[in-house]
Order: sequence, then structure tokens, then C-alpha cells
Amino acid sequence: MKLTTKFILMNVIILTLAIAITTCFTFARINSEITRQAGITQESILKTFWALLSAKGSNFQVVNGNLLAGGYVVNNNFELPDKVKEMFGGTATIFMGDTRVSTNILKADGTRAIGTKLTGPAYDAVVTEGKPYRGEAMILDASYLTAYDPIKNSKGEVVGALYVGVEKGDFFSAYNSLQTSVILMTAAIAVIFSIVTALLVRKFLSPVIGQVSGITEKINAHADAIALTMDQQSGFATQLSSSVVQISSTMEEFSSTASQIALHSQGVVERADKTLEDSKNGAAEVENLTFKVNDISHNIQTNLGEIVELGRKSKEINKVMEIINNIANQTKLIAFNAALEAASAGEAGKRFGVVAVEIRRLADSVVESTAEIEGKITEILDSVNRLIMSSEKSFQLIQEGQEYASHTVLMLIESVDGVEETTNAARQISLSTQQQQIASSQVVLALKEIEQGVRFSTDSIHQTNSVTGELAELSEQLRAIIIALKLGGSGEGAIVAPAPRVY
Amino acid sequence: MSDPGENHLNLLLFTVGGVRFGCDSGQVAGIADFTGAAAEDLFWLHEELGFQAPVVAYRSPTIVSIRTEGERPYRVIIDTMEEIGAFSLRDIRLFPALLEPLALQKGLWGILPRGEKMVFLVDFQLLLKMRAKQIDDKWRKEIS
Repeated sequence: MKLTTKFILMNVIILTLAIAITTCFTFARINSEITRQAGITQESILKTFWALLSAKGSNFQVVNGNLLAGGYVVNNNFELPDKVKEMFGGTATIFMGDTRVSTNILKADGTRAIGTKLTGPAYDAVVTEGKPYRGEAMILDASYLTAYDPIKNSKGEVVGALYVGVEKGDFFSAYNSLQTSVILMTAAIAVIFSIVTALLVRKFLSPVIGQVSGITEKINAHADAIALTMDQQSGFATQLSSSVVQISSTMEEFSSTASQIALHSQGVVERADKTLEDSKNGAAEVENLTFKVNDISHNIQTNLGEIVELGRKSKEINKVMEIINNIANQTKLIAFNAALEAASAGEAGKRFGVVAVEIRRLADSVVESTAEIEGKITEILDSVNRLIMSSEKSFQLIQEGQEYASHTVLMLIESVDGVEETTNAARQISLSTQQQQIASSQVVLALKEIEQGVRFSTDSIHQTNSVTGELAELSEQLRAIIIALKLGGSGEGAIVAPAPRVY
Repeated sequence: MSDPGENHLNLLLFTVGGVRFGCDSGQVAGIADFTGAAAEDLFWLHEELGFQAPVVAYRSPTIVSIRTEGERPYRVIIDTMEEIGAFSLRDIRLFPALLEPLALQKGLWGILPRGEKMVFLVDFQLLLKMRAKQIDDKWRKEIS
């Protein structure tokens, strides 16, 4: 059976029950009211009956087997019960003791029911206990509302009882008829309500169920996705926690190392300051050395010029010597020619020949001297040349030294700048390392907080996993219910097997 | 200068290519510096003597003008002059007969020993005679 059908039936049942309960309540109230009205009426009848009887006499006594009201004999005197019946209808009886002695109740054979006994709870209340009794009783196969009052003598002893009764059907006939009508109407309303409910369910509930089914499928899918995501997040959180622990350990080591580096950096700064001072002194010394080398270079250049000038003058001397040599050679030639002339002149040229020979010898001597001078000058020139070459080499070396010194000065200046930068950098490194140490400590604290946060996050993920699992189960249950709504059945595992999940 | 008597001869001593030579100073008309200018009547002594050495270095080339009987000039380039003096004829040695014809063909007529060295004596007149025809031809060409 479809769940919608069940739903409709349940609605009908509920409505019917509601109407029934309401009706029962109403009928109960009506019944109660009718019973109360009947009681009032019965009390009025009983008061009237008492009034009629009291009018006959107020002293009640049993004399000779007869009940007397004053002087009025009650036994077999049906005046008063008939008068009550005439006035109100119903039944009326006067008991003497527990025996009916005057009544308007007729037996099946049409005779009055005289001599019959009062029994049951009415007897117990009225005769035995001397108290009034109100209640229902079956009289001659008819249900009656009865009222009994004890009749007591002057001594207060129960000598009889006064009874009035009205047939219940007189009061409840309309009530019973109304009850039948109400039941029929309730049935009709239930049927109409069922039809209307079925139509409304088909018109409004079915689309909603379809939508709810789609939403349920989506919720189910989302629950699966959330479960998968939470699973991944759980794994990631676990890895993150492990990584954070490792990073925390590393950062603690890093912080310790940073402390040592800061200490060493301070030492480096001090050494760099000392190096900077030494480098500045060294640069100044090298600069002084450069000035000295420049002076030496200038002196060598000057000396070189002097030497070159000396060489030039030596060459000029050489030229002079060449001239002298030429003159000597010419003189020698002249002397030779003179000697030739002297030789050709014979005895006359003998003295001239001697002079020519002497002149030639002088010329030879001059030539030899000039040759020696030339040799000396050549040696001097060689020495000058060697000196020039040596000086040029020295000058070149000094120039190179000067260049090296200048280069060294530049390098030292650059080195000073570099050392200064190094000092500043070392100082900066020291400061940075101190800041790094502080930052590392802060990072360690932050990592510990992160680790705690990750732990909380992991717990939250586990809780979320649990909630997601419950959500998935609820989604499965809802889907089962939706399918049950669509297809019918109990919806408890008969149709839907929930997909397996890992949380 | 030694005594130029009958037993003496005035000689002009000089060198060419490291070889000492000598000539009768009477054959020399004059001595002058060699300026480098070539002339048809100017000869190198090593060429005149037929030196076998391919290159002969002259340290102080000097021109010796030889006395000639005709108009033909004859000048020879010699190297360093060393001395003009009178030398005893007894000191002069002639070439052996075996070598004399060959020596005369080169204009050499004797040897003057000086210490451990020898001075070859050159006869420029003899050389002039051997060059006479060549010199005459050149000279005539120049004249014409």
C-alpha cells in the first residue's frame, strides 16, 4: 500500500477519531445534561410525591401490617402513584419496609406489581442504611432512572421507602436519534474528507515529494562529497599536524642556530671594524708609497733624460772624434804624400821625409788616440745605452710598479669600500639575525598555536565526519522514505540499500 | 825613414784583405781618399791580383795614383797604408824560379820578411802593362 494512501487513511482515521471523540464528548455532555435534567425532574416528581403523601399525613407508621401516613392507609391504595403518573408520567411506588404496597407499575399480565421486594444497592442504601438512593435500575426489562427516599417514623426508623422512576428512553430517545444522525454524518464527512485529501495529496503533495526526492538525492550526493572532502581534510590535517610538528622542531633548531649566528655575527662585526681600520691604514700607506714611487719615477725620468743627453753628447764627441780621425787620416795621407815626395826628392827630401814620417807618426798616434777615445766613447755609449736600457727598464718597472701601486690603491680603496660595506653588511646581518632569532621564537610560538589549531581542526573534522555520517544516514533514510512515498512499502531497507561510506 | 842609398829601396807598405803588400814608392804619384765614386781608370787591387776570396773588405780604402809614362791614368784602390820607408835590398827575397813566372803574372816580384810576417812586393808598372791594352781601349772610348 502506498504511503500516500496510508497517509490519506491515517488522516481519515484521525479525522474520524477526532469527530468521534468530539462527538462522544458532546454526547457525554448531552448525556450528562440529560441525566442531570432527568435527575432534576425526578427530584421534582419525588418532591411532589412527598408533598402528596405528606398531605395525607406526616406521621408514618406501620400498624397491623399496613403503612399509615397519619391515618391514611397506603397499602393497596393506588391514589398517589396514579396521581404522580397522571402528573408526570413514569412510575411511582410506596414501599412498606422492602415490599411494594402501592405502585403504578404494571406486570406483564396487567396487574399492579404489589408485594414485590426491593433488592440490590437500593435496598442496601435505603432500607439498611436509611439513606436516599439515586441510580439506574431495570424494571420490567426497561431501563429506568430511579430515586428512592427512606420513609422514617417519628423515631427515625425506616418503615418504608418512596420511589419514583422515569424510563430512560423518555429522556434519551432524541439523544439516541441524534447519535445515529451524528454517526452517519461523521461517516459521510470522513468519506468526503478522504476524497478531498486524496485529491489534495495528488495535486500538491506529489510534486513536493518529487522535489524533496530530488533534494534528498542532492543532499545524499553532497553528503558523500562532504564525507570525501572531510576525509581528505582529515588526511591533510594529519599531514599538516605532522608537518607543523616537524617545522616546529626545525624552527626551534633554527632559532638556536640563529642565536649562535647572532653571536658570531657580532664577532664578525668587530673583526670587520678592525679590518676596516687596517685597510684604511694600509690604503694610506700604499698611497704614500705611490707618492714616493712617483717621486722615484720622476727622478728616474729626469736621470734618463740626463743619460740620453749624455749619450747624445757622447755621440757628438764621437762625431768630433770622427772629424779628428778624418783630419788625422788626411794628415796621414798628406804625410804619406809628403814622404813620397821626400822619397822622390832624394837626399834633398831627406829632412822633409823625416818630418813627413814624424807627421805621419803623429797622425797615426792621433788616429790611435782617437781610436782609443772612440773605443772609450763606444764603451761610454755602450754603458750609456745599457744604462738607458736599464733605466728605461727600471722606469718601465717603476711605471709598472706605479701602476700596480695605483691599482693597489684603487683596490685598497675599493677594498676599504668593500670592507666598509662588509662591516655594514655584517652589522646588518647581526641585526637581521637578532631579528630573525626573535622572529623564529615568534614563529615557534605561532607554530605551536597552529599545531593546537590543527589539533582542534582535526577534532572538528572528526566531529564533522561523524555529523556527515549521520547526515548521510539521515539522507539515506529520507531517500528510503521518499521512495516509500513514491512506491509504497515500509521504507525500512526493503527498497533502498544505503551506499557504503567510510568515515 | 831609412837611408835610400844604393842598397836600399823606398817601399810603401799597405794591406788588402789582411795581406800585407808593398810597392816601390817611386811608382806612386800620389795618395788620396777613396770617395766611392767609380771611374774607368780606377781598379781594386784584389781584382788586379786575382784574389780568390769572393769578398774582400777594405777598412780604409785609399787610392794610389800610379806614375805612367803616357797620358793614360792608372789608379788602384788599396787598403790601410802602414808605412813608407827605405828597406835594405838584402832583406828582399825574390820568388823561387819555379814560382816566379806565376808571381810575375800577378804583378808580384818579391817578398819582404818582417818578423814573422811577409810583405808581398807589387810591381804596379807590370800590372799597368797587363792592363795597358784594356786601359787604352777604355781611355780611347772616353776620349772619342
